[in-house]
Amino acid sequence: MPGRSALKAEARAALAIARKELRIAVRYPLNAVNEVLQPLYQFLLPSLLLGATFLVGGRAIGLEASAGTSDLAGFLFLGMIVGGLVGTAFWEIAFSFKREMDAGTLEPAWLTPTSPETLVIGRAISGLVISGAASLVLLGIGLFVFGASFSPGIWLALPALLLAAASMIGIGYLVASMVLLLREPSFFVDATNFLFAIVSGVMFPVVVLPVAVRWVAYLLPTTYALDLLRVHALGTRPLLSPALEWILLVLLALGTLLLGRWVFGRTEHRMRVKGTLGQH
Amino acid sequence: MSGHPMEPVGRTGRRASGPTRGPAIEAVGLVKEFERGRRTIWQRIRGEADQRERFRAVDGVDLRVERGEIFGMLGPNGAGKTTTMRMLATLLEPTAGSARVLGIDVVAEPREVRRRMGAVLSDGRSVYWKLTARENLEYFAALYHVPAAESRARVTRALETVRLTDRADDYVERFSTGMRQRLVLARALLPDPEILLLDEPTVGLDPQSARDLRERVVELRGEGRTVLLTTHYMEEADQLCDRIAIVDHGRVVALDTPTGLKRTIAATEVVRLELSGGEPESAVLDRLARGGSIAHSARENGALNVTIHCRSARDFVPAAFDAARATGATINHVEVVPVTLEDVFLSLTGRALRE
Repeated sequence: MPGRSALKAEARAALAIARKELRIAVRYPLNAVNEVLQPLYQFLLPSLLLGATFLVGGRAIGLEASAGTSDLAGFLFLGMIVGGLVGTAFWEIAFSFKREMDAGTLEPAWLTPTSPETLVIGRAISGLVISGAASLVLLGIGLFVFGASFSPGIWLALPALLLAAASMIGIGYLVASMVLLLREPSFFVDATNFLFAIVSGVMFPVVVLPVAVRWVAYLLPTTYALDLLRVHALGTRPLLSPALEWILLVLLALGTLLLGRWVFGRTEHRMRVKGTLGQH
Repeated sequence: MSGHPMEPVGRTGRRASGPTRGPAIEAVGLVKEFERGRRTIWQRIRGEADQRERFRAVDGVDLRVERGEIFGMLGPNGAGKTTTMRMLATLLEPTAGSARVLGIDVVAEPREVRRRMGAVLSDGRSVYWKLTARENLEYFAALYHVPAAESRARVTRALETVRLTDRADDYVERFSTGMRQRLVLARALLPDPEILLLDEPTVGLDPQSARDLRERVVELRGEGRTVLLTTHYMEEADQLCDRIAIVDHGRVVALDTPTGLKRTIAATEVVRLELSGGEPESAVLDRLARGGSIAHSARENGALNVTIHCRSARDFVPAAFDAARATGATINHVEVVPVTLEDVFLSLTGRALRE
């Protein structure tokens, strides 16, 4: 069990990693702006415009029937918040290991006494800061440009978002393990990120998924986090009873964190045996 | 013992760390095996036998590096130097054998080893180009768990040591290769390490930058630090190292001081001859061998290149001309050089370092 000073040193290291990531991000300003706006022009606008062609009297009748709300803009913008969290796990946490490997900066970090787990946590902090900022911008655009309206009860779903963020750190550990093991992980990260977001119900209600895929959705913590967010903010029909969703969300968040840490630890050991850390 | 965390305190005056005052590094029977080839996921799923060939990159290395010395591992590319270094740096787990750094087992307590060691294991690209030199070092100081109160002073001192203070706030992308390599060395100094591992530290540097880096390494020994470096530049090893292990095919084939190693080939001078004509070749070599020991011979573009170790070139060269005349050969070129570590390697392995 690490002592208090060791934990403090690890916390400082995690913050230094986050600060470094953010510093580099703002030194490529166009790239940083793109990070924030990409979900808007790549997913939200096409979905909103497509959805608009099916509106009847300004109401998304089909969405109302399947999810219990006709507010398409609100539904999609909230989806993007959780989509941003998912993207953080896959790209900001996991894929950043690939970028560091390519730049030759991962090995020097591994040569320090900082725990490899802290390398993940540091990236999670910067990723969540970026994702949080992007979510606020998107919510603002949703509210003031696209007329989305949310119930004041949206704040009640904040713990769900925090639990989703925790579970995404667990997913980050898992995907980072794959990134470290695969020589060319871009396709893997891209495909799994997309599927994870889709199955979580970012773009449409989970109930429209084929039954077999829906069972996968029930295993993802983000499904419940997003569902609870929409229940509190838009008054949508919950997938399961909210109490059960909270319990499942807590259990899945804990489960992904523990499983992720274990797999990441095994991966690190495997890399030290195989000597693949410096390879890319 | 020292007021400043990185203040030079003399070769014997550094504070003790680690459980004992034993050797800085001790490796016993260190082995690292790798697999050649691939085993596909499909082969794994079908449960096919693993038919990959296993080979030993390091094959039973024994080392004992004393505190405060510059110890070199000299050998050609692929000899196993870097693999040994990576095991000592805790990046690789040995297949067999054991290694201790400052008395700490590298497998059992890797993080404890990393806390006390600085390492330069890759090239100068391994810093963040979009951060300044100071920002890079501040970042790594946090990763080395340097206390916040000490961090600034430690970074400043490291920049001073590698002569980068005036460029501390420039983005690394504007640095030359030599400056980046010095920054990497500064990073390795952040934990105020007793031991530094330097893997081919001057590869890719221009002569001036390489000389500059070597001077820094000598200064570090002056501060009482132990330096283990690998190189395939014999001049570098000769110039820098107190002791050298010559490594080939994953094994230490000789270990001594540079002078001691040179003494092993029982010659004071090396004569390199280029001959033409004179058949058969064996007859020419037999005659030449009467005046010295033939270390190497090879045909190249029709000419016979022979390297001979001898006690006195003054005596040998006239005899070599006589020998050539007697066998119908012509000596086209004669070169007399002092014995170098290259010759030691040649006599031990039958191959040149750069082959």
